[in-house]
Amino acid sequence: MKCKLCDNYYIVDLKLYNLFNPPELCETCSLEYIPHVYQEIIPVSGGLVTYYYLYDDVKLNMKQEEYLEKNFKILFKKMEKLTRNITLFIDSKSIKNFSEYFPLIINFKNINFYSLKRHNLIKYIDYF
Amino acid sequence: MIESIYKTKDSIQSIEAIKNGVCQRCFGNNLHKDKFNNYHCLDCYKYSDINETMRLYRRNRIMISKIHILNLLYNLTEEQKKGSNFFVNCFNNNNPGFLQAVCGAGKTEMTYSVILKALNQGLSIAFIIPRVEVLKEVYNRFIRCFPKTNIKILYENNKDFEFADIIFSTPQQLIYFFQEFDLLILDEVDAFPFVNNIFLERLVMKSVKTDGVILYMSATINNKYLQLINQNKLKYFSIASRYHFRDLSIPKFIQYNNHKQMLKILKQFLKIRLELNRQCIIFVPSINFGHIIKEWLLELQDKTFFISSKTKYKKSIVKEFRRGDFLFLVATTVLERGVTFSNIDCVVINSDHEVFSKESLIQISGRVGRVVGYENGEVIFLSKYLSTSMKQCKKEIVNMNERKNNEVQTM
Repeated sequence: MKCKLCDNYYIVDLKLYNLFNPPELCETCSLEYIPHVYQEIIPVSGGLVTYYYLYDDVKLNMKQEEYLEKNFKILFKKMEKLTRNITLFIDSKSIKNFSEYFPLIINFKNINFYSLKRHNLIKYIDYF
Repeated sequence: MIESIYKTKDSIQSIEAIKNGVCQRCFGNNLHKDKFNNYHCLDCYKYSDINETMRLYRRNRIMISKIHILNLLYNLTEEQKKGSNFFVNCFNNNNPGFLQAVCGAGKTEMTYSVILKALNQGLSIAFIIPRVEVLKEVYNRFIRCFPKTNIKILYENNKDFEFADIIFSTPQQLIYFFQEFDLLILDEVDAFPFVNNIFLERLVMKSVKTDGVILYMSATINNKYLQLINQNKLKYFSIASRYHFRDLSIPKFIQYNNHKQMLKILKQFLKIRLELNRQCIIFVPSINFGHIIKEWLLELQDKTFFISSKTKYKKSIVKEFRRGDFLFLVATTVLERGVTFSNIDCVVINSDHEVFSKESLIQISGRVGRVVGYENGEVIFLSKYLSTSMKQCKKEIVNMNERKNNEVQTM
């Protein structure tokens, strides 16, 4: 079979339990791309920025990002518990215009950011 | 020409970014269809997203013509002059060339003449090295030798190339150029990440003008280039001797059965280095293993460092080692090329590991005895098994030494 992340071919040992649900990823990718909820807390004047992301220190192309976005359900569950805060998703495109969001969100005291992979938010700290 | 996805005032050409299923920025066809049925190139996605709705804009690079001078404080040896003439001939005849010269032969010095000639003709020149550390070192050497030339270096986030007479760059940065260079010198062609990387090879071919010249340099040559040489598509010249005409150090193979025995052998070897006060680089195949060896070495000496691609202050550690502040340095293959230390020995632990290819082991052996006055040094390969790479490495070094000795006798 062809791995959906790295496009390499791999052999699957088909058994009754995985006959209709074979693994989509090769062994290397299934170990490398296990999602974890990472959390970074950045204290800002009068509030707190909490940043959640699923993958640390990985380089993903568009196809890989699209596939791994299904793991966002872990973060959605976390989001349900945090109703009073403002929540923003960051992706590879929105990070380019990230500084433009700040005039709009500056008045919120507690802000949550979510993203698939880690972006360095510390360099935007001056905007808060 | 400079290629960009943003339109500027001086853009003279505009093309579709993806045409007939081929990305025009990297000439790759690894495309991905998104939710809106737009195709994106996955090969050059890491530079910035490019899709079929976008356009590429090209503009000419501004260059200022002036007279350049070469400020060389020493004379080239006869062998170096031959290598230098080979490059000049390739350039004059518009032929691509490959110069194979042993480690420490002074390959960089051999490029000065051809570069000076191209500079004074007002041509656009690029010097490409796949390793950033080596690139920085060679760049500093060029700044001293070409005092009137505007030399710019491109790597990672360094992207200033305006008004540059010579551009020093990693192959990845060539994505910003389209048929720009009249002369492109590609050093360390056998080094990671350039070796066997089709994407980077495409970028190199794209950045050279159709009538431009590519000159390759390395200490080793692989089958791909040998084929081109046999087909007469690539001119070839080889230099078997170092500039001081001493033999290359031939590696000694020492076998061990288990890690305990390996550490015992290593301890004995390093104790002698301690008594002699000689420096030693210990090459390891992986980062984790490097940390273990470094911790173990702290028993022998208080100050020991470990260098890998993930080490933050590589330059300062290398500087301290060069100054002689400490005797033992543990390193991964990150230090296998481009660095010169005066009086060292080298040990390769687990030299049968797949990381240590023939090219890599030849480069490691080449770290020893590079400087005049310190031509002798030992290279030890510690391994459980004898790998093909180890055998090939020893065979090639012995052959090179024999060839050099024959040449010296006939001189």
